Amino acid sequence: MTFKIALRNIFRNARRSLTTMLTIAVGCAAILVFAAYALYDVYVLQTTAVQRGGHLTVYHKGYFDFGTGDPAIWGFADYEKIVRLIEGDPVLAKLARVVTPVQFLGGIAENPANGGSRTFFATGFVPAGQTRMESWNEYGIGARLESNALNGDPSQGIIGAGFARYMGLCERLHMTDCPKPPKSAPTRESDVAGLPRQDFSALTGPAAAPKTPSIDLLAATAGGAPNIVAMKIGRVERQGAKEMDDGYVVMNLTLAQQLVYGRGAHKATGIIVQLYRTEDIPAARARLEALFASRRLDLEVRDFKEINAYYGQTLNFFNSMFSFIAVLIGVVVLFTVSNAMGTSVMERVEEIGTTRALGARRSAIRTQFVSEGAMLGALGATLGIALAFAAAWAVNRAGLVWTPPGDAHAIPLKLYMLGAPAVTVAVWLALIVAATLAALLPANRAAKLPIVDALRHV
Amino acid sequence: MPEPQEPAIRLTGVTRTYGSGKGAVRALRGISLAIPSGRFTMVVAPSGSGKTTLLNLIGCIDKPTSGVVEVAGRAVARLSDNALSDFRARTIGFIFQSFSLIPVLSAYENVEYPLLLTGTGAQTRRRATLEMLAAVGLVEQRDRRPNELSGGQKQRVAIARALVKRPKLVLADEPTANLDSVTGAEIVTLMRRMQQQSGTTFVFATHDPHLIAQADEIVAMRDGELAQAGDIVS
Repeated sequence: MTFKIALRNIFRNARRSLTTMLTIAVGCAAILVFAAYALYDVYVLQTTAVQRGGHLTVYHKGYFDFGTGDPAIWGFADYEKIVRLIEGDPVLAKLARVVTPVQFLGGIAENPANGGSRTFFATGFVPAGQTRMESWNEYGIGARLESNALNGDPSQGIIGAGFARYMGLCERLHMTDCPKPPKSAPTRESDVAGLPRQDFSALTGPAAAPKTPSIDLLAATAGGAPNIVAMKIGRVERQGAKEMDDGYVVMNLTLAQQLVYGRGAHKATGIIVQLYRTEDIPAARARLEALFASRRLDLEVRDFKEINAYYGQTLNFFNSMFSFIAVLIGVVVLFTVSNAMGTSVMERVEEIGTTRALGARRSAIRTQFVSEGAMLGALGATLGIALAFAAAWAVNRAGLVWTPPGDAHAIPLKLYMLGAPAVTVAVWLALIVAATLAALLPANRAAKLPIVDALRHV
Repeated sequence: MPEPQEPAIRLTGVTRTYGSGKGAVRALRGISLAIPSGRFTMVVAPSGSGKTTLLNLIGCIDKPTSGVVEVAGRAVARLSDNALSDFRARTIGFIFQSFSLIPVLSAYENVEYPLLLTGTGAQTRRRATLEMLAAVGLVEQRDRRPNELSGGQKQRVAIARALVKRPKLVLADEPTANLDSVTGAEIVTLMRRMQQQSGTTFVFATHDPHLIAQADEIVAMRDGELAQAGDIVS
């Protein structure tokens, strides 16, 4: 009966209850829409990171902390054996989707046609492995993310738009939005800037005019000697961060190894392991580490969150934003419900006196008003979930686009409502708890009313 | 008419003072009385003489400043709030001047409510509720909410609600004050009939001559003290 009275009292003053429920509903929808937006962003970031670099990367122990500045000397020669070891492990075979070696390197690039040069940071991939990695889409992201897959030509690579600009390749690569240096731009006339070009020419032999634009890449080999290779520009891919875009090079693993190791034994800086599911990272990592330890391999495993620091930072940013919005809306709900319940108590003083006189305990009165608050919260939060789904439906069909942080390409703006049912349930419960807590104070006031005073109340 | 038995209510030296210091109001000034069981007892007094205060003390919804209140043989002053609530739920029925029905409940649910407070089983509850609604002639109106009932019907529901749990004592504060004279007379007759059927002790605070005319006992009060009935009732 207590709950029946509570429920009926909600509909007794329908306008006030509706206003309160709508406040809760709008708050709930706002939290859930933001969560859906944040979740989609995080999934887009994760998908981009995992498509490009897998979930886990195996390095020579110490490379991640001390070796990234000189990847050539941190390569391991028996990488193919390790790839086979991982692929052949019965546990990892079930978890791992792609196992592919990778070579990181850095050096100086030059356009032999016009002398443009600058430093670059390159990654050498096995094209087949890279292509397969790019098809990973655990979350069914609707967006078609930019592909950086290599083609089968080992001499072809991909460069960043900024890098192409530095290399003076804008016209040859038919790039738009690619400014030319001003005439007043300072140049080096008689210093060492000219030397690399002469050295490159000596190493590569007489330059022929290639049909496909190409650049020369100079790097120190693992042994410390300078080496150079020519790389044809297969495609330009704009990167989100300027500092990355200005030095971005992706190349075939064979070409990267040729540059870094020359005629010596070809090694790899890392082995990328892409899993079917992100949630398997701890299990796969533990298995890899156990495998390496059992074979006394001096290797370390890093996950994509460690490698891509911005991913964790973005996650933290969204988490703090979500918490802030949730607290803000929680406070609004607290005040709204508390006010509504306070008014309700004031209107029902005589009724409270009557029920107490009839023999209802204080706890029954308290329960009645707290139940009323909880029901308002439940109804409002449920309505809020419906509103959030309706908003998501509308946004997902509106064809909106946006550019995620750290990316250069606009992608569809989606709200991922079904991505985290636990968040929806948690928000629903949290709002009910907030509404219940908000009702506690007026409920206590109602329970403590002196019966005689309550009966006299007009 | 049943013979008087042990007193249903006994008050010994009861005072009730509201406020303190110079602003203190002494509503009851050392009342000692015994109200017999199974009788129709009227507390009659001019307005402001303390009859509602007396009923509140008897109904265990207020506590005396001093003195002893015994209801159904039990001294109630030292009972905890929960124990008093349970005592009221089992022992005392209330009929209020303004009916005081729970507006969101139907007539049936209003009558059923006291049985829920005593933890009566569903089957017994249903039977007792329907019997009581039949006794007050409101079976047809059982699904109506208070705002769909007339004043007389509301008071009938209130009477049914007071009696449904078969209490030892029913307290009624001006039960006919908000009714027209014809309806008031009907309600008085109904209460009298039900009191005779159940043998329950009824204690009224009233000015209504129709009601006073039905009294088995009269407790007269003036200025918070007992008075001669003849001084009050003409």
